[in-house]
Amino acid sequence: MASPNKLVDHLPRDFRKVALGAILVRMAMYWCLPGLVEVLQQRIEWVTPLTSYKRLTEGLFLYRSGIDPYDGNQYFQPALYLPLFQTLAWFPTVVTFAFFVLLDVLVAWQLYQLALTKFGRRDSSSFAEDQNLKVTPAAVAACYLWNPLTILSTLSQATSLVNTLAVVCALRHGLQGQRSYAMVWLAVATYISFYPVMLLVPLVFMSSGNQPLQLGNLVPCLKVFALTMVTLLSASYLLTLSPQLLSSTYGVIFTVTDLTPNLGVFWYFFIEMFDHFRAFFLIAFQLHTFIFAVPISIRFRHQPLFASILLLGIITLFKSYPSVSDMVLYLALLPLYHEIFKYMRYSFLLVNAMIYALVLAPLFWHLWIYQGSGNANFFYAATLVYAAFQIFLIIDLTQSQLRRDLERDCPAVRSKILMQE
Amino acid sequence: MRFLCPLSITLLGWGLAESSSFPSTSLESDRFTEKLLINPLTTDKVLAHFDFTITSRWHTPEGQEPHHYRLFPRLIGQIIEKFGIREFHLSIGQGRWDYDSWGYPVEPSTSPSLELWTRLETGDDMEDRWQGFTNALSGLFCASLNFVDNTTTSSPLLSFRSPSQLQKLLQDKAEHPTTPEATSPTPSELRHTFLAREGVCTENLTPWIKLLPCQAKSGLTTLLNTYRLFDSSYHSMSIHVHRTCLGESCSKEVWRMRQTLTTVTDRLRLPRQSPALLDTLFDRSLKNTCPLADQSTISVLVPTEGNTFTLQSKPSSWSKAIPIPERKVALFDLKSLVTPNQSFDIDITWPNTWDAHGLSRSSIPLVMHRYVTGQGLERNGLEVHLENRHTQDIPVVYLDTLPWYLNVYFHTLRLEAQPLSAAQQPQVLARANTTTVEPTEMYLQPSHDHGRPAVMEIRFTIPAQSLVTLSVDFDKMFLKYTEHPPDANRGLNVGSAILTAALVSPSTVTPCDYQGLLHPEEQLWRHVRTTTESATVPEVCLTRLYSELFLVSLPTPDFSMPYNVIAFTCTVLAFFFGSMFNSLSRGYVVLSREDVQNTTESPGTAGNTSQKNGDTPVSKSDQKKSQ
Repeated sequence: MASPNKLVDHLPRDFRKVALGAILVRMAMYWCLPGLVEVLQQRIEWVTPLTSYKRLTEGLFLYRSGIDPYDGNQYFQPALYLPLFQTLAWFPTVVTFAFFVLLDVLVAWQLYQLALTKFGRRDSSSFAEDQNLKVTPAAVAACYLWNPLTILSTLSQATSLVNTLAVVCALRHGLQGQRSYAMVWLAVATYISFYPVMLLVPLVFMSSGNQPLQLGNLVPCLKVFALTMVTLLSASYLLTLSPQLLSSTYGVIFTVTDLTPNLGVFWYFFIEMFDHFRAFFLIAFQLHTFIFAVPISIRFRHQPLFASILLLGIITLFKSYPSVSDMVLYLALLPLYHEIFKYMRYSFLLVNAMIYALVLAPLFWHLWIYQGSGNANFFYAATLVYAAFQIFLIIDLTQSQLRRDLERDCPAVRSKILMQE
Repeated sequence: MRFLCPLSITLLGWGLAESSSFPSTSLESDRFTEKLLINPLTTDKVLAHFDFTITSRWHTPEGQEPHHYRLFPRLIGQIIEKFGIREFHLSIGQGRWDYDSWGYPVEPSTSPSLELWTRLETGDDMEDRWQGFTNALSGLFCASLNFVDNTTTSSPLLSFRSPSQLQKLLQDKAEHPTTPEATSPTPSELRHTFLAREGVCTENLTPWIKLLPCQAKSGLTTLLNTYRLFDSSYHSMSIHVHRTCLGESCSKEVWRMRQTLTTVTDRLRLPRQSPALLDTLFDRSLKNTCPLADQSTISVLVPTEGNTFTLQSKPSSWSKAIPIPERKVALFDLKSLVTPNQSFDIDITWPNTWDAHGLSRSSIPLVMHRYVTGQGLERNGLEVHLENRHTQDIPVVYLDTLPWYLNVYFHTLRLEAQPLSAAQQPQVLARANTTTVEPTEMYLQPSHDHGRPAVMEIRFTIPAQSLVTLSVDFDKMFLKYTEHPPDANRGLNVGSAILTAALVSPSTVTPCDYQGLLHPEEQLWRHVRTTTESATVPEVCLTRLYSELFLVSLPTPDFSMPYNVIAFTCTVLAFFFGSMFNSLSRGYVVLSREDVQNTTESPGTAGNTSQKNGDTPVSKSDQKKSQ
């Protein structure tokens, strides 16, 4: 077992610099701006009922008091968080925060590895002139760690960070061809928030070296995935012995019983929905999310990592309880595909729409909830802008990748304007 | 929880009446007493409390005797038999009981809403029976009790235990098992509910009066003038039905039904000021008594302070049995005083300058106030101030039931005490004196979405001369637009918090004193006030205090928006689906010049060519190069 010092020495120098600065900034903000931390912990843009640290604390309190945490209206998070955070709760609160910072650095490290693997590959999809674009793995890690949204997300102590780490680990191991690890991490991510199950097919493609999908590849993957899921769920059950384990976690994700506003499209729709259509639209909305897993995996079967990024975007857009923390994850993965940025047509519009939505949402929220001079429609409008921004981003990314595919196939058409048929 | 019958100790004001020593004849037949208690509380406020009690043995535990209703109303008898009710207490009130200047009420329940608590015999169909029972009462009293469902019902573990158990509980430091009481022969379970939005009206009073043997035809009920009753500062009507037993060894079990009506009237606001007390208060006078009543009395509590009140009518007797602080009790036995064809009234001279603005604050040992903290529609909190002005520690049980749409964070529950002297000081100094109070026992029940309410029941001791602040955070939930009440922006009422306390030798009038006055023949409480100095056993009065209601305004959606929201959101979804489908199902191909010309000329495929979102048409030079 290597000592911590040795471990740090093993880290590349550029990553060390990026990470150390990020840790210092986070800790400094935690110490100097306790008010900000408190506000962020309850901002609906950053935390949802499924990732709220305050609700986790409540769950822990109930668990410690001998009350089933799922037998209530507060705790919808995975059962295995309970022993994890209970251990952390033995120490001063700063240790819990340090844990979140550590998770952040681990995510960045996985991104670094991911970038190293991807940039290291010189496959058919890379062009000679791409070498001119100097994006180093450390820059990818920095794009994540130094993104102001990430910093705020860490300060909010949203437990979705664990989910982010699991997803990134799954992608990294997938890309490196370590099938079992990838599946285990995917199962962890699925266990936490369920939606990452959509990444199953791209990960199978990825980890089997872009071979065509065969039963021989799929079955062992599914075996590992299912085994991990069963282990995690049974461990959760043994831990809580709660009959409401599934209904209070996945039940809430699917049926959207907690209508606390967030940046997604579900909350206002289901507040305003007529009772007799509720079930129909719930099924329609959830299917609409999951259905994209298949066509995107097929269309981008040769770039499963890109398919994963698109799917993560769709999850962020259409999951029942999205937050900025989810967006941070797929924004962090985009620098891996920096080569398609030049094909994007709406970059200016996108950046503006994002800033617009992220500024207006808290403003309109304040007008509605505190000021009383606005109503729910104001905040709803901001979430629509946010949704529109993400839609444009996802569509634009897809189009750019398709355009690049064409240029790879027909080098003669590079930098020409084309029609789609 | 079980019903407790055979113990001879009892605590008053408690609804549970136990062993009594009736004349032996009363064992054979029903017994009815009507009583009125009048107590001037402050210069202007007068308390009038009616108490009608029927004791009946229409039902024996063995069930051997045929049912025979004499005075006990058959309506009630059938309901409690059908639904297996061992005990129920219903009270409907309006107005706030001002503990700070009026002291304690005669009946503990002062909730300005509807409160019902019941012990149901344990069985399989308890939920159905509870529903059936509330619906039956709803029909009987014209109240909205049919709205009682699992979202408003709770089963507190400590607060509503039998008095003897509570007494033990409150004076004990140890935790108590939550198992049902083991002494009762048939186990029963408690159901408690508040309907915080219930308004009281004559339509509730009329069926209430109809249950009385003499209805409103004769006796004290003729004083019930609805114009005056509902024009008061506070009024509350209640009905208590429970079993009790007679005889030394509790050999005979009887049913007792107590109907009470309390009003606090603003005397100075009344149109007519005359020495005739009943005429002033009720605008009626008494012409007869109920012939079915075994006892018919009026007790007037005359303030002794300064001897400024003078009672001109001569009372039948001055009661000495129960010494009441600052009051002497004049008893009027109506059976002997009221003669036919002559209206009876009590003449009293009100002092012009009675400077009593209520009781002195320090004499009221325990006061509770509840506030909502925070601003905005998102996150709020509760803060409860429990003020112990007594020189002794007071053990209490705090019970609060919060509806499911308030998401309570139990981990934020804080119990902090500071000396009363420090509470007056500036915040900074007061904070330095704050200590945490350790609860002895705590039962927390998290709420269910659209289901049971959140319940917290905390047993702790309030140190002498100190202010205990209980605080807890809650989030307001977002309801579907169909779940809001029609006047959504008014907010939703939340029922009172209940504080159960054992007051040790209080220096003010307690419910126990009042009850002792109303039912002196029953040895209903162990803590009879003794005038002798040699009393070693401290007098304890168990009572319940009710806090104010509060109103939560929940964040509302725009109620006119359903169609718009459905249209907008579905447009966003459809837009994404369309664009994605477009991108995924079609690809870029390189066209030759001829192909381009063909497609632009043919009208049928024109739509396809213009699909390239906003791109300029393919230039010919491009096409040449691409070839």
